[in-house]
Amino acid sequence: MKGIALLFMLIFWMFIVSLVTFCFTLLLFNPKEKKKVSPRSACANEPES
Amino acid sequence: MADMTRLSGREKWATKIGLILAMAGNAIGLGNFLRFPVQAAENGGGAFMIPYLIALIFIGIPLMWVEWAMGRYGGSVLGHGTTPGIFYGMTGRKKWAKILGAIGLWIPMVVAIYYIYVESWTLGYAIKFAMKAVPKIKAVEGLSQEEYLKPFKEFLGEYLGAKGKGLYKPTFAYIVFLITFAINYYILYRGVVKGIEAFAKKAMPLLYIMAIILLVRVFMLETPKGSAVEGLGFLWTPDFSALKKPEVWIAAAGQVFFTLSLGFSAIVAYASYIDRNDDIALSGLTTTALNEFAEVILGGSIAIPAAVAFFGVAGTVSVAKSGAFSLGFVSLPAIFVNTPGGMFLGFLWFFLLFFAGLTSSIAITQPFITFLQDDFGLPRKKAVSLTMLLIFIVVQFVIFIPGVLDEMDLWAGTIMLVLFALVEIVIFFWMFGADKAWEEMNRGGIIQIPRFFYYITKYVTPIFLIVLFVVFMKDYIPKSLANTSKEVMLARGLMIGLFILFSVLALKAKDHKEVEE
Repeated sequence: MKGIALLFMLIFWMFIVSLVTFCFTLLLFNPKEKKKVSPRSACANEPES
Repeated sequence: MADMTRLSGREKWATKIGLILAMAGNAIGLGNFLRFPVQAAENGGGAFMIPYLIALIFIGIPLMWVEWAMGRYGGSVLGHGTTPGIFYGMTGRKKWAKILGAIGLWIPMVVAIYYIYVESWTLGYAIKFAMKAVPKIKAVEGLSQEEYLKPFKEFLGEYLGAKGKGLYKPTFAYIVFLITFAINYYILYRGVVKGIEAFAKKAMPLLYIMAIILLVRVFMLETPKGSAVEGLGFLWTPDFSALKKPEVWIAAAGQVFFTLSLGFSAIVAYASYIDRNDDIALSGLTTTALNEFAEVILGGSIAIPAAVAFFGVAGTVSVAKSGAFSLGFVSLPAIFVNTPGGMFLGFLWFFLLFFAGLTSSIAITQPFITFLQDDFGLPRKKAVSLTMLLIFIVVQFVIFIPGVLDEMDLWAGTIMLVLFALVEIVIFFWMFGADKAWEEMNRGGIIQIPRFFYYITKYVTPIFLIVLFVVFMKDYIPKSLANTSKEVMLARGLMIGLFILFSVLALKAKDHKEVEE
């Protein structure tokens, strides 16, 4: 594998991994998310026939 | 005037992670593992990623946010989770907007009709590998690539009924289709939270695990003809001269568009089950990031590297030229059969594709269900049954009449998608109002979308979409219209019939009053 191919691959892979890490870090450590509806209460909303 | 009783009756996603995984499941489909590597290999390798990244920023991410915002606004303010009602509400109650919105029902339904059938092939192949009922031909010296692949091509032909005379009855394939159809039905029947969300929470981590196992195994492949590392080199070596070709830029824009499942209305329908003040800015970005991980890192590291390891670079060029479908259903089975533990790998590969397909097919079936629930007040189970009945009737034409699938894919799965995405942007940013649209996109956001995207979404994305639409029209329409065979005319008749049906339903739908904020 040539150096330039490796460089291209690593740049794009690292960009994507960084983006995923950034997004999940913000989601996990965001105080708003701690107040999320529990699955039980959400199911209570469910309209059923 | 607040009509909160009606709105509180709509389901809501139970967890943020469930929502994101369901949205990612919608985006991650067969294209991530098959279409992307072929497009990249044919359009400049590593250099393809430059227009790809630009298209992601100028088309993909803005449209993703637009669809999330339209859906959340529709579900939480207008009481409509699909485009007929949303367009109607956003254009100040114009009747024509309902007809335009009907395209947003028509596209996902037509695609769902053939996609569930294609998805069933992946399950069928997974079962064939699990039963070791695939051609077992040894790759011996002196056997040409063409000769080696021939039994696998015939195997695919037999599976799809190419050898049948008259009205073909591919029993095994049909039974597998029924199983696939039943699985889709069951997940959707259970509802958004208990069905779609619960399934996505299990299926998506499993999908990533399966892809990582395959990736690790593929990386260890080495034959006298090549290795997987050489395959990565082949895929990623940049050919900068490709950047001078407009078709490479169009291919990259098209790939970004299809991979994120934009223009299908599935994102709009899913987003309509989000709370009014819940974040969409970060959630939309996370969905995009998860899709890119599956596409560029996992999708780019399985099929093409495996092909190079087995056939060498020259052989892989001809494999890539035969198209994404042939790569997945002919070349990779041929490779796995000659690899230690290949039956398990083959099973894993097709089961991975099946999961990728399934999470997408339930997403594209959802808009019509949402429409029947919101606009006709049908209970979920009745709405699901009616939708699946319609799919079941029309899919028979796709299964038994050759040519119907390709025609549907061209119109609903390619051309109209781009046009519809353009309509979405124009209605949301130009008619509903750019400032209101921007406020919607940022409402409840965990992150603030950079202002730069305001101008991108308003001016640049529509221009990109117009160019893409014109090029698609020029490339595909003359060739398609020249074909006037009975089968193709039947496909067109079916599509027109469905569009008339959805337009009439959209016009007859209930008008809800907006909820005052």
